[in-house]
Amino acid sequence: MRWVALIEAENISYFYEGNSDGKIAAVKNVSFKIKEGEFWGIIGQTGSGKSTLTELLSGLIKPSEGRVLIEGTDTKSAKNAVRALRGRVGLVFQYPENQLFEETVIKDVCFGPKNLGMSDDEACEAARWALKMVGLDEKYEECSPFELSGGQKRRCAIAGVLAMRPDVLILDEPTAGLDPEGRDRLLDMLREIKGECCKSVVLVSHSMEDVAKSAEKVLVMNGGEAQMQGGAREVYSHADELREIGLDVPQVTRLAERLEKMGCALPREALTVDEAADAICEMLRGKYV
Amino acid sequence: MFRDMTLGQYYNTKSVIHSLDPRTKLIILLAYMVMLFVIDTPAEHAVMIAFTIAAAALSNVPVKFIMRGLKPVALLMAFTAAINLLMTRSGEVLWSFGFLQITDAGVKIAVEMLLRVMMLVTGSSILTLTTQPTVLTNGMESLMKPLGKIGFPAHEIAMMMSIALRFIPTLTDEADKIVKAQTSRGGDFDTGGIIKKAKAMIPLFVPLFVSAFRRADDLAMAMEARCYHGGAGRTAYRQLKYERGDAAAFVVTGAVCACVLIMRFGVGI
Repeated sequence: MRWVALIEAENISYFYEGNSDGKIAAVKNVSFKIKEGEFWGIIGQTGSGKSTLTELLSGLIKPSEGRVLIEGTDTKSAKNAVRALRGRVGLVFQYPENQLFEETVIKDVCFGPKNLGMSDDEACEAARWALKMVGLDEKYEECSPFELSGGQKRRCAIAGVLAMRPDVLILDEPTAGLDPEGRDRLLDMLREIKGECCKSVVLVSHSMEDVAKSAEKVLVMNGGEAQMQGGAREVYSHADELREIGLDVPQVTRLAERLEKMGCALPREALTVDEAADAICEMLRGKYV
Repeated sequence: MFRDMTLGQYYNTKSVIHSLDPRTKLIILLAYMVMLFVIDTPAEHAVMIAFTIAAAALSNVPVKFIMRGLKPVALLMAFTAAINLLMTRSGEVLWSFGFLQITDAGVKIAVEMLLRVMMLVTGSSILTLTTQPTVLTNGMESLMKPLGKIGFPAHEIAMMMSIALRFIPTLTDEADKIVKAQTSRGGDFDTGGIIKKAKAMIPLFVPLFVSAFRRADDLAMAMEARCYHGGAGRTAYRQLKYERGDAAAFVVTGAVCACVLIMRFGVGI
């Protein structure tokens, strides 16, 4: 059976109990589809409902209204069915290094696969593969996860989710608190992961730069609602709207905007610094050669 | 799973009781508890019940919230009442079955016990419902200060209590997050026998302790960076001050205590 979408959210809303004045909506009437092969970026300010949305998409919490289908199964269906979905969608929480608990790195990464019912050998194999994927080599296997550096801890925690071989990997602010180099390496790693093992990757962030570097499709959250969604280029073209809700466009888009105002528009759209450099070179060549 | 835990149960509203000094409320609660163990006759019980109801009414807290405090001790109360009811041997026998018998003295003791525990819990609930935890610890510190002369670490204990209270919501949030994170890694905390459940807790408790220790370290560092060096010579931003309302509260409580004592021991004491 082939599913149209890996994850499908249909008009989902999520309310939580307020202090006294009834229910507060964290997510309001959001619909979108994650299809195979897509790299999504979910962007929004703090408190815009991004994190709640990730929990809804992974089936950890159930929507108050609407429904979420993961590979065709409603997350509201029977407990066993939902348990079977664990591992289909891997969710990496904010500061995932806070969930490390085992004595050694390899044991910690094995936790997920073992919960899915793999034998010790299978789990170990999956863990080794996942650690390789995140760039932690064999010498770390027997280390205590608490001895690793901050960036290594984070990668170890991501490996813990990756080892479950999810079809969709959702990461909530994976670059928070990392230095620029660690951040770039992590984003590169995500692109690699999408190419090699996960059918789709969803990157949640409040940083336009992070999303611009990797995501092909973008969902903009504002006050619990999906303000815009679509191809990255299309979303970035609404620069004014993005600024209105306190977000900005990526630096490259900003540069293109300024160049255009100065009367020398780039010959084609660019999202990353490399693309922009190429486009500028092309433009200059056209002018002077 | 951890979200349902409520420890700081302060009910935010305005009332005469809310505006009392925490020390006043603590002293009154102490006197109230002593009185609960002095009373004996139905009339004396009635006085204390009236006092409790009056305090509850003045506190502006919905009855539902005050009663909530009784829930955790309900089992204990039922058990105590049953033991007293069935096991008391003195007095006139009203009903008997095998070794069980109900006597009139037993009924009296059971009812008194029940009322006493209910009032005890209600009284403390009113205190915690009308006083913010931090204000309460300030009050305790201030009351315990004289004990410092004999080496009792009043300030340290109060500081420990405030910090513990301050971190309860933080750690509950943290626990909630860790439960979710491990659940998404396929962790299962609800099914299985007691040993399996206990083992399943390891992935929760290790990260929780790690983060608690880290937070404690950070807090100690932050406090030292701001020159915290214990209680000596420390002033408070919010000074506790007895007001007119506190005097009135003391007078009323004093009158009730006197009333109960006279009823109990006669004017002769």
